[in-house]
Amino acid sequence: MIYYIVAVCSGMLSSMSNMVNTKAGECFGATKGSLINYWGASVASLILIFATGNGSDFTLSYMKTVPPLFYLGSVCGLVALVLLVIGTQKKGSSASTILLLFGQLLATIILDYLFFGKFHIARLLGIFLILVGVSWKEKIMNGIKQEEEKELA
Amino acid sequence: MIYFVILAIAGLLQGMMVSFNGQLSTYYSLFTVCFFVHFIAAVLLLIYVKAQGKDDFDFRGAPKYVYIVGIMGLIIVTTSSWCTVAVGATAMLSLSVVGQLISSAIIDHNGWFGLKQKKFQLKQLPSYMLVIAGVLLVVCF
Repeated sequence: MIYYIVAVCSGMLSSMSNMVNTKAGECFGATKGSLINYWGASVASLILIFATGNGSDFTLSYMKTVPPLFYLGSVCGLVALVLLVIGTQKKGSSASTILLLFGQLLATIILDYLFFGKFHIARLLGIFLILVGVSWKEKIMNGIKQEEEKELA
Repeated sequence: MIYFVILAIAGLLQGMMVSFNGQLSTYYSLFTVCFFVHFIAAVLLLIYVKAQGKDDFDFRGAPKYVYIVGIMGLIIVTTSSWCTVAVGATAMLSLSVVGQLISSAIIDHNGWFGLKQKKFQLKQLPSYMLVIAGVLLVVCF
């Protein structure tokens, strides 16, 4: 149960982090704004690694035992960020939210099967409902925005 | 059409990122995972900035809360990697969507971060319920 609660809280923080990242982008430009995020988190985590006595994680012989593929998470994230900026500029935020979510859930369902052997047809239905729900919410929000613009005009 | 594909690929890559970070945490402590995730991206981004010929690294003048964005990133990567190993990446991402919807609604309702205030309306509720139903299916099966 604790994992479910933490996962929801992590998502809540993620939205707030997006807003702060956007503000950092407004103040310093997109690239420098991202640099604050990445360097800040690198330094903070480095301090915590040594404070919690996990400095031995950095032994080269141990690092070599980890499949190189697993180090590529951040590279995937950076490439995704570039593609996201390109796509959102052309298709708007609603389409990008839904397509991004579709891609994320598709990738995770495939990788959960490969890494954990987890798959059930009900999960596909669940993903479908999530996508329909988010699309519906985006449609409602766009409707509210258009109503407000009409009132102002 | 090409931009729809680009956005879907961006999503696929983000899903891969969550899953790979989760796998990395089976080898390292959560803070070490967080370090690798951010440090590799920071170095790549720094190389990009240098290649662009920009070397202005003055980070003064932003609102104070902007400077804790790294701490927020640390908490997000640490918690998501911790949960991914326990419940799988699909369940982690689905539950995270619920969290994002809740906090986005709170931010909009209160007009935080200088955004225009958008009061929560009851007609939004069925769409939220549909998302929750979907998440329950993902989590339970």
